[in-house]
Amino acid sequence: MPIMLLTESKLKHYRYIVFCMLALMSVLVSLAYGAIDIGFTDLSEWLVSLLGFDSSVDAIHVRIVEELRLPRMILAFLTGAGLSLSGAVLQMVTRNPLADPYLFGISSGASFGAVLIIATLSGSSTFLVEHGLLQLGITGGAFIGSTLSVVLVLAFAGNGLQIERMLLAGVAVSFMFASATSLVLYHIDAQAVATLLFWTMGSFTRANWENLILPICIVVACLIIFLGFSRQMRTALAGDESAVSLGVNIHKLRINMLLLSSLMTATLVANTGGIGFVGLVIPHIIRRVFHHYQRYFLWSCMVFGGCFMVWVDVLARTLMDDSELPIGVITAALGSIFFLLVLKQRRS
Amino acid sequence: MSQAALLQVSNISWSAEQTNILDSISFEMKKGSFVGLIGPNGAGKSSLMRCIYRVNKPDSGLILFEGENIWQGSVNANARNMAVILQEQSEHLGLSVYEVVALGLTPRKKLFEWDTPEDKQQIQTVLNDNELTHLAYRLFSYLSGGEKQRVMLARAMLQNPKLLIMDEPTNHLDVHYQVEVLRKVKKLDVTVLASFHDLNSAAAFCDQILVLDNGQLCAQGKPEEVLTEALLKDVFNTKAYVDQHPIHQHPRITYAYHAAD
Repeated sequence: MPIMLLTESKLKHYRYIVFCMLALMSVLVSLAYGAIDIGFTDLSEWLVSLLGFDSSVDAIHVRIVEELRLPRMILAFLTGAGLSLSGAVLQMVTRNPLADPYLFGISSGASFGAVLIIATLSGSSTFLVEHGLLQLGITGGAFIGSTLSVVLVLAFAGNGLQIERMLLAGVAVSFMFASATSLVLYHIDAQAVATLLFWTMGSFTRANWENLILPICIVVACLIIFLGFSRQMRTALAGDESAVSLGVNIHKLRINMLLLSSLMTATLVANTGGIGFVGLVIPHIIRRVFHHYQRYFLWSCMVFGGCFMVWVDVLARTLMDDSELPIGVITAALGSIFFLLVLKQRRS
Repeated sequence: MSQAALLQVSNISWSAEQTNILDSISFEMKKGSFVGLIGPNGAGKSSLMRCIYRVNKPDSGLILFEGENIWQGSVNANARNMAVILQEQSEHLGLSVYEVVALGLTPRKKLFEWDTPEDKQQIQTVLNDNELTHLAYRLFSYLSGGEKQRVMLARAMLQNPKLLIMDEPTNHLDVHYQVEVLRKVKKLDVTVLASFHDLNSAAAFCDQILVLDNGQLCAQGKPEEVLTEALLKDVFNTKAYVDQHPIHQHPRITYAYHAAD
């Protein structure tokens, strides 16, 4: 049993160093590699030019980094950070170590809402697109879909919040929304289907500076609220009765936190499509590695989840020579193996 | 209504799924007293305590803490007055012993208020008082039943309540810790309401005993007044002999395990 891996003070230092290194490396690698390899030399030249010094960096490389890769990396980081945070919060307030926005049907609810909005609005008007209202509409649709899933899962899971019932309800709700999404896809024209299908599998290709504003605001706002409520959320882990005896209105807290994490998931799904299992995997790893230092649990999930997603994006761009892999394919492949390992371990 | 009453329960009834679980129960607890709640399984002991720590809302009746109706204040206000040690503990998914104990700070912390150096000092003190320092960074779920119970006591001590409610505090504990936990609680400057299955522990530690049977309060008073052979026959359907403890001044109960003839 991993009981005393590191002492508290040692752990503190290691964590900061490891996290900083991880984040820095992720940033550099993700900016340097892709369809066109820019390389670290040009990248460092670009950094030098940012500081106001003269440098001989290729103008095309500058445009690739500044207009394509930087917003894309930020979106990837936000997505990983937000989904991990959402998974961590779901796991805490439902006391369910297998909770995850994907497994709870939140992601598929959001996907359905977003697909429905895209399918009905995208062809009809360029006015919406020009004014950035389409993105807002997609996010709104995703939020309504995801909230509907939360309500359904909670309604079917009953009062006891048993792990099995919640998982089963999540799977059922997930299938329900997936079939509804398929129905929408079946009824629209072939070209739109191709775009939407790629989108439902998750991708960061549509990242640009303008589209980043809404996700940044929502993820940051949710993070701040989650941090504020982190003490209350920890009491949820002690059980509902204990939480009440510790002065926490547990039902209100649970509903509010579930709604916030579905808002965050919905925003990210609206921008990136269906990316699963990150919310399950990252909090598990963090719990395993830093298990006796829960106070920084949410922070750690966020940083680690963000970096993880940046790396997944690097893989998606570089694994195949001539095309990009959908992000959701990679995370689902990694995540499902991890899920099976967790299940196996829980049994023993 | 006496002046020193910390908790007054008057005429509370509570039902679940059309079944009356508690039927017009009234009692008072003096400040500093140690009150035991006994009764057969299903008598309503846990339900009664849940009414007091605001999980079950009574259908009728009043519960006053220092003269204030507890259901009129907030959940948080109630938690600053009373701490609860439950019979069964959740797994506390991924929390270490230190973090579980630190939950005791929750009632007096606002949102975004982190632990101060004084808080940390207090956590160390209660960990030390309960011989938990060496376990501080272990996962709570890995502990034994007795260790978990000590963690809960440490959390309750950190919460620093006026009233401590304990549901079967000596369950899962070996003889040494049964006595140890009750002694420790008795020494604290706190009023206690605890339910017991072990009547001898109740006799040894309580100043006042409440007997619940079928949702009704059928007797209350000092241990020597309440714990009689007749009551044990009536309420618990058990043949027992009651005499005085050979060393201490409280009743001793000896069960007749085999039929007399």
